[in-house]
Amino acid sequence: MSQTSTSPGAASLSLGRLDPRVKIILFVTFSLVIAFTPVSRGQRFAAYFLFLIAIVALSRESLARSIKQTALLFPFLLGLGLTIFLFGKEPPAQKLNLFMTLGIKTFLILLALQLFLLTTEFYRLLKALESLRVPSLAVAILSFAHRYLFLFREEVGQLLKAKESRTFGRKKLRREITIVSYLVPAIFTRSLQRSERIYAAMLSRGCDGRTIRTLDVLEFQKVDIFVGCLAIFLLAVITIVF
Amino acid sequence: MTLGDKVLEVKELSFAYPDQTCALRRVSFTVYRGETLAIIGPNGAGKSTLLLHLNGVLKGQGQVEVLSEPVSGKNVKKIRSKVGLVFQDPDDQLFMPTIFDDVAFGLVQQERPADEIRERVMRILMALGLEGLERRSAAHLSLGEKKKAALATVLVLEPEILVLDEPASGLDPGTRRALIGLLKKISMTKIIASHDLDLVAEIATRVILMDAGQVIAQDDPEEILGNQDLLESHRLEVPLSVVLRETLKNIPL
Repeated sequence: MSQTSTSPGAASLSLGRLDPRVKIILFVTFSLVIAFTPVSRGQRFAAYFLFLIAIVALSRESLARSIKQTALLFPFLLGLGLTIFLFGKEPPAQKLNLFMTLGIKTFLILLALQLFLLTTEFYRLLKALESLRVPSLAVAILSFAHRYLFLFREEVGQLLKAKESRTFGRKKLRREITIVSYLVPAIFTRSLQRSERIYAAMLSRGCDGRTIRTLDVLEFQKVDIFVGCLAIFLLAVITIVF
Repeated sequence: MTLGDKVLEVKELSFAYPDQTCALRRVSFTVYRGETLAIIGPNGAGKSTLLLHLNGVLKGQGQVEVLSEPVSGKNVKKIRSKVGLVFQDPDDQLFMPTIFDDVAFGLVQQERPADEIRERVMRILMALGLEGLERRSAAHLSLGEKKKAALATVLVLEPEILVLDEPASGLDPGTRRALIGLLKKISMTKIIASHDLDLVAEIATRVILMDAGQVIAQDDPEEILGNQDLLESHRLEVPLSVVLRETLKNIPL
């Protein structure tokens, strides 16, 4: 049997080899636990952070890389903070408290999400979602988005290059907006044409056009169940002790 | 050349797109078992549209018969398992997250047992030299690898007729040469639409010339590819390999 079609070896504790369904369940559980933890429990948040660091170490992922990628989302967090401080009617101390609550919780959840995504091959993530009974249409949309994002970026890049190569003199904002307003329908038309060709390719290989079936490649191993239970147990311990 | 039994027959096929562009006008031809039929013609001749009719993706007026069965809504699944269509742009054909899933796609739709699917997918990937790429996304392959993978998605279904739309377009000479070698090795009946007349001269056993949705001529490759007036009047030109062959013939030794 090919490596593609089998679950990874049961002996390894590497997070990348853990069944993605277990990871999804753990991620959702962790997010809920974080969301419902009162912000006054500073020690508990610190323990959750250490818990994530332990997982980073176990998964042989670089902590710096995980935090760096999570940090890419900080501007959105700052935007949220600004909204709270500029438009909220609460006293400043309460605003700060709200911001800290959102900040810490968002950081921890994003770090967990980052860790989950860094250690899960995309196709295994899709298989896990299918297996967890996520509607097949949603899984198909995710799959196509991932597959064609590169091509879409390439096509946009080509159109922009074509525009640049025929742009002379100083750029004027109004003219740029007009040009972009012409480019958007062109991109839309190209996407539509491609989607029609892809649909024809699917039909020609026997797809009925309603459901996209794939080969199930995930198999629970004992180590998956063990790691999942251990992680939930540790979360429970942290919640009770701190 | 001795022709085998009839495997595909197109009778008086016409088709117009919703914007009323007439893509096919009363097209008729027959394909025989084991032959390699090349469909040539300028841009907009209707070649790709015609290919989409051969396994029932498009339905026009007239009739398409595959293995003596008229293509209809009722038997379209069966027809698609007999006629494998490889699209011009492999990015249209490789839509799944991994090459393995793409090659397995048709077999999964046929609800084959999982073990058989794995075995057949790995066998075809090995045969085409794509082993090791099964977990990769098509987004990260070269054009040559993508073309081979697109071919694998169809060959794995073991169709009786292999239909290829511009198989060598965009390939560098080395990859093109390898693809021609591969196509020569495939013994099943092949229908190839192509602008690449040198490729046609090398692998086709019969040629159909199309223009403006009509069949203009069908004959042996030597007759059509050597007819300069005919080709030039339909915005094509005599392939270099044929020119060279004719030139060499005329040199007294």
